[in-house]
Amino acid sequence: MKKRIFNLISFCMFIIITINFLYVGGFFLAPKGTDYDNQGGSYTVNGLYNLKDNQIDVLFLGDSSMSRSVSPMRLYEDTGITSYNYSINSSRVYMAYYMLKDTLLTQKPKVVFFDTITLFYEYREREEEQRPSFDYMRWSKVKMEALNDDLFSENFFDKVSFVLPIFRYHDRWQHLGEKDIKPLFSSKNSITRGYYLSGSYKPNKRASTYMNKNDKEVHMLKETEEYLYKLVDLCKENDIDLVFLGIPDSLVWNYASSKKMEEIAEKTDTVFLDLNDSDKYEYDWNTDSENGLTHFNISGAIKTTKYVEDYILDNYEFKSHKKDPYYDNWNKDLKKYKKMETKTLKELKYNIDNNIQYEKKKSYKKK
Amino acid sequence: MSYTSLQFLIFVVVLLFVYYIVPKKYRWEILLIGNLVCYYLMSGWLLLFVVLASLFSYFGAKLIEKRKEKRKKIFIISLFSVLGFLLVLKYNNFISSLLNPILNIVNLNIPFKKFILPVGISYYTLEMISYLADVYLKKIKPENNFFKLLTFYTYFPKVLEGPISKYRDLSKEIFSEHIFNYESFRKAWVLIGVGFIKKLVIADRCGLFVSNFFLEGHTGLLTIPAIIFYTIQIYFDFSGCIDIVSGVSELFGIKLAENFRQPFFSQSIEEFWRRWHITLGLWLKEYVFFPVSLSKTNMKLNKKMRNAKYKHLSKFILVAFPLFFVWFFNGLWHGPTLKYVLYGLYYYLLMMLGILFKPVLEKIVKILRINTEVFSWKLFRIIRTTFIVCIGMLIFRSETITDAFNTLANIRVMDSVKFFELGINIKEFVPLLVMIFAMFFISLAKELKIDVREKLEEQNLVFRWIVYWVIIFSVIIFGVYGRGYDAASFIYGGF
Repeated sequence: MKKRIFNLISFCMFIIITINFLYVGGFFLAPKGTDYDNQGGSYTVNGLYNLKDNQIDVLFLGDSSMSRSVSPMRLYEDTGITSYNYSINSSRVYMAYYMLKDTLLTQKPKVVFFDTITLFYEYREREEEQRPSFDYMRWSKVKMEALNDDLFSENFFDKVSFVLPIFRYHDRWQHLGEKDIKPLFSSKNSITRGYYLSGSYKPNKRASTYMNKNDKEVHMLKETEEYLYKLVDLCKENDIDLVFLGIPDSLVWNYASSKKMEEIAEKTDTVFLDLNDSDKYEYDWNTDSENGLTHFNISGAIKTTKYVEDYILDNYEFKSHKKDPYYDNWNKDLKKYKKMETKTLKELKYNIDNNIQYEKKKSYKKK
Repeated sequence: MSYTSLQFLIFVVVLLFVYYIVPKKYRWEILLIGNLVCYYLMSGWLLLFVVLASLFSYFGAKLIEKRKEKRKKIFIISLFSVLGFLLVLKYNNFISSLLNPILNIVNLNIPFKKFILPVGISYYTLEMISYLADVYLKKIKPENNFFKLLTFYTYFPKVLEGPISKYRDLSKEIFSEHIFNYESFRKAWVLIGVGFIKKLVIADRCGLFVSNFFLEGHTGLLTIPAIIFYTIQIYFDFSGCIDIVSGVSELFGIKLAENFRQPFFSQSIEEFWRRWHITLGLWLKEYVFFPVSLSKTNMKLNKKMRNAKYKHLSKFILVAFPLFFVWFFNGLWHGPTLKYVLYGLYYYLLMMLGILFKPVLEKIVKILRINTEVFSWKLFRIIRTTFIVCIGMLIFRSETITDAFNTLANIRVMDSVKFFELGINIKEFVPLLVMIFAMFFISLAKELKIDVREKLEEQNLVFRWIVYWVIIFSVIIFGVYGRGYDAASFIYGGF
């Protein structure tokens, strides 16, 4: 009998330790996004988890465009309003829906800005595009719900690999480097609050024409529409104001997209803040674009943040948290952020002065 | 659902749990349900083919015993009724290609058709034949319970790739009452783990190189590693599968027949085939070699040869005649094309040459005063056998025999591609090599009659756990599976 009990205990111990090894091994092998310029997975997601409970007033959700457009720390510096830019490259509304749900487990934002660029994409998010957000999402009923959603995992093996990422990244052992190991032992704090600072530039030559009036029609995928309405409902259920933010984008956006979004906003009783409207919102397309098409650099982001800030101040009455001891970490990080911002602005100035455009970034780094 | 899928492992764990919680006498019924579910998950409603063939073999065997006066006729009808499925579904095009030239004379033609094959049809058909033959030869009594027979035919660990089992042997294992034994349970998982290493870490990694080399039509000296890698791939793929299924079967307390006994330690082709796919060799020996040897034609030949002048030559002919059928069917069993027949006859030819020139070779060895007991001579023979096997594998891999010869001839034609550009980079090559060496040492230990799993069981818990983790994480980290790889199915599962 004693032997049987010993066997049972040792068997259970072995299984538990093995599962832990598998779990830890997964994070060891998974791509980290060690800093804000690398995919953003661990940096953005862990940064949000690192905040104290109920610390943000405003949440920004979206894809890479959003992550490069709004600086929560700049907004905090100007107004004392706390926000987080919870945007992951290529993230679609399906992902945003679950990311918001996940955020609501610890935060209670009053306003959510959702970047509309991906709403008219004609293809769904690919598995590798879902990974950066999913891999670092904490275990919760939200993650379980997302895993059971067929939009995210097509087969059983995929589902398991979302639970234990080692099955997805097992082959990365040959690419492991300092960037994979360092973050395991460093702070999870996101100084920029999810915002991606870019000092690159490339003049956007399509900026003056992409919003020309036309009779074109835009099509929204069935799944996109379904999750868009789910997102709207989720915000309403949680007493959150949803604002669709039209970030200027000359690659995929056009006049018809804006018109369609206006219809959707009206239908869902939400707001569409369309920054593509060049009569109201000004950008210098020679210096504000990161890659000449779809992303802003820090100069463009400063302007976008200002437009968003104006909208918030005009429509809401948030208290400044600057003197609240509960937000001490924000004040500390603001100092660090200012240094990063100054450095990035210098980098951008250097690039503009020397006409080092986006593609030539690597040669700049070599110098 | 393949044997290396997570679904299969979960299926095994669930079935195992149910198996051991029900009373012992009902356990084989749980196995039957598990078998049918597993077969359905692997092959869908083609399950009906195996059930139907099982019914034929069940009633055939009953009638053989009951209708003593017509037993031979019933045996032949039953034999062809179970064999019929295989002939129609798998060999129809081969038969058509042989018969059509004759039928064309009278303006007839059998159309070529490709059918989806029920999983393991080549394996369970041989088992049905052996069951009917054993009843006919009165080696066993026919089984009274159809469901017991069905449990044997569809026994899920062996249904896809064997080992080819005999009802008289495996039924004792399946239907005896098993008690859960934790030590055996651990040993079984080690065997499964080793099987996974063989399949996912070694065979499928080598497969990347082989596929790229042959599909892209490369030539030059890299043909040599490509052929070696293909031989390694086939061996570890098949023996890996056998290790997995044997381990799974051991979890249920059922020991399957041995199918591989370190074949690459063989010093001759005969020995190689006694160690490689042992159960197929034994089946062919019992149900082809012996019947042909004891046939009237062979008996007559035997009588004539006894009085022949050249004793060695007459002995040779007596062996060569039945062995021709063995190797013809061996080749044909692997595939319904002329290439596979020639693959079997390639080994037949080499063996016959070996037997024919044995006295001459022995004389040469004597004249040259070669010590045949030393290690170097044995090593030479092992390398020679491996070389012959590698050429055999090339025939097996090529579309036609001509392709195989062309591949060999093209070794002289230089190609610009480099070794590490063919699907395995240097970082991946290192663990591959380490694992091949690890498997070599395990085989060497077995060759020296050391039971590695037993030795591991004797070790302390911590050491055992470390070994288990090394196995588990070797498979998970170095295995070829998941996104980015198209997981290769077991090569022998296609037969």
